[in-house]
Amino acid sequence: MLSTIQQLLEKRDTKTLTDALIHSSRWLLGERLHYGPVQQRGLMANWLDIMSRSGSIEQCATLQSGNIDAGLFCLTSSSSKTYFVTMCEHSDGAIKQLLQWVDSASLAKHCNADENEAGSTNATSVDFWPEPDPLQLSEFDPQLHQYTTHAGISDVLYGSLSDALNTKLTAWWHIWQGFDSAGIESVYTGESHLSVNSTVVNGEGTTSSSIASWLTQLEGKLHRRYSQLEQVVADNNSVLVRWRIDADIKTDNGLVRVRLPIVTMLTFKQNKIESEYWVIDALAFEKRFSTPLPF
Amino acid sequence: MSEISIAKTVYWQPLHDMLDPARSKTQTLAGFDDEFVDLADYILRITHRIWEQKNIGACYDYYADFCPVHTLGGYADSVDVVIQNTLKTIAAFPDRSLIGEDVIFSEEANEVYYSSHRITSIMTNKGPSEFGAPTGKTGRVTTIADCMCKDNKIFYEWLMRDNSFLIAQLGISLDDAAAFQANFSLSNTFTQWINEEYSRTAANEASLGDDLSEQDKPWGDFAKAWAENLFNKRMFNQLSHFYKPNAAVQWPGGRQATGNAAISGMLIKWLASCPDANMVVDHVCVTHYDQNRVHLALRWGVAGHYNATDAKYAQFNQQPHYILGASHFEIEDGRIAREWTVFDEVAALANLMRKLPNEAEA
Repeated sequence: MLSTIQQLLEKRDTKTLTDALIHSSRWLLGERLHYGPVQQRGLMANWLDIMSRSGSIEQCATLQSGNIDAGLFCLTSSSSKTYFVTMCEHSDGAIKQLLQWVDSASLAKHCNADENEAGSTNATSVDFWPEPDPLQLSEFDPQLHQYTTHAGISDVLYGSLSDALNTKLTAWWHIWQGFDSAGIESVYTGESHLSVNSTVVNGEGTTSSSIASWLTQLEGKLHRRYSQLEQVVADNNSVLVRWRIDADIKTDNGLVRVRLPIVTMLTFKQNKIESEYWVIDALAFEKRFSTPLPF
Repeated sequence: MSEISIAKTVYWQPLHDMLDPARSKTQTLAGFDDEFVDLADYILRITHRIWEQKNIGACYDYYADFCPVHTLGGYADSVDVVIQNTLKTIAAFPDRSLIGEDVIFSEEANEVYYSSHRITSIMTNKGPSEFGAPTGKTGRVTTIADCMCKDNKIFYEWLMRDNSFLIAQLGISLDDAAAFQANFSLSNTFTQWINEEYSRTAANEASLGDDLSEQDKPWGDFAKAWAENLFNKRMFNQLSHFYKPNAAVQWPGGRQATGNAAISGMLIKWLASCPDANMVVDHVCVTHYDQNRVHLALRWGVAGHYNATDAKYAQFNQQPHYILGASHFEIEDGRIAREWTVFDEVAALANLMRKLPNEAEA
């Protein structure tokens, strides 16, 4: 069912997607859930507006498992790349959930490039980006106590993954949840591509310690950090991981408790990570917590 | 068609099928109009007719003349008042949609059907409402409506709406909305009801018997154990008995927690606002989605004494505090995968301002 989104973006085909949406379909964008034809039409119009300013769209990775399809897309213009992930839950041609996570900071630069030429200086926001849903966070104990249940890969895995890749993905989760810096070499190679939004952390032109530096930066800037797996969808060598970090960050107004939803698309090759893309919606974060991402 | 596929049909139902169901009749529905194939169909279609087709007068067809409707913020018992309230709400939110997310139902004694209907509404505040002057903003809200139905009519209803989440989107503060509501006069019936509910709940007395089938009794036990162990005994180390490791929970006012650590923190913080709280589960119904997935609907009450977790509400400390709430669970492989819990925090705060419930009169 990813084709409905592709047809919207590439052929301005609103009808195919509209026909696939049902009465109770929900569409997540900008950390806001949208329902009903009025809101859905608004989102389609926004995407068409974005596409009218884009050079091209590329589908970088896809996976399909049961009634879930997901894809990583890249919007490319002369000056920027914007990654976004689309995931849909579907059955018999009907879409129940359409979830999208966008590197909105890059999108803002992308969309505002034309307007800057016309005199606008606001390059860090997108007028039509949704207001995120209200969120109340509660404090909780972030320690990985031995006798407390913490979601692991096997607990939440949906789809098929070989034992070997399951082990690798579990090691990957230990790195990012448990600050297991020593585990990096078992999962990544020097050629593994790792990017966080449009920033390449590892791969061509980076140093061998760059992943460890990124991990250290996360740990250092997100205090009392707790990482929680939400969903893991696997399709042979491709895996989509939805996860979130709850943490305290330092701001001019003191410590603020925040939640950072992250979606990560991974591909494996020869039992190592070949590519890994993190997409984080910076605008939604800033709108929600009135402070920019700390990195 | 079995009950299993009714739940799945509702989940995946397009609008045209909701308005003209393709499935064949599987429930007897004695006394109901022939057009309805099952209780879920009855609830979804009459809701659409009344709210989205704006056929408000259809309430006369589908509500009994005397129909008590309980909310945490008021009470009505005549179909005329139900119609007047519906009209006022539509005037305040003219584009309000009522999107049926789930209908969890049971067939009870004496040809009574019980339905717990979870609804998502998108609504734009264009007129004066129960929260104050119009803001022009659009919001989303979750409602759970529990209805008892017989002979084609709803004759008893409990209505729970996540108003604190709605007003946050409308740009209205909880204090302002509650203060506005606290000025409304309340009927003696409401005051008597909330006092009695408080007293009964604090005494741990459930209001209804257990009408679950033998097959579903374990789910009734599950629901009661959830309330007893987590809320009444505060044994949060048992969360993993009830929740999957990535369970996603939606509570009022934008509380969202995933996983046991975050759920634990959310429940502890909420219970700290009523540390001697006692929860009573007053009703449970069950539908089966497929072999591994079961949907549970709970209606419950919590009674205790208020303890402000925000200093600005300290003036209400030690006042009796009562919450009417409902929860929908989607249970997979024996544990909760997704939960929606709904109650009205605006009305709860307004009641504290009114000094309700009144313990001396309870």
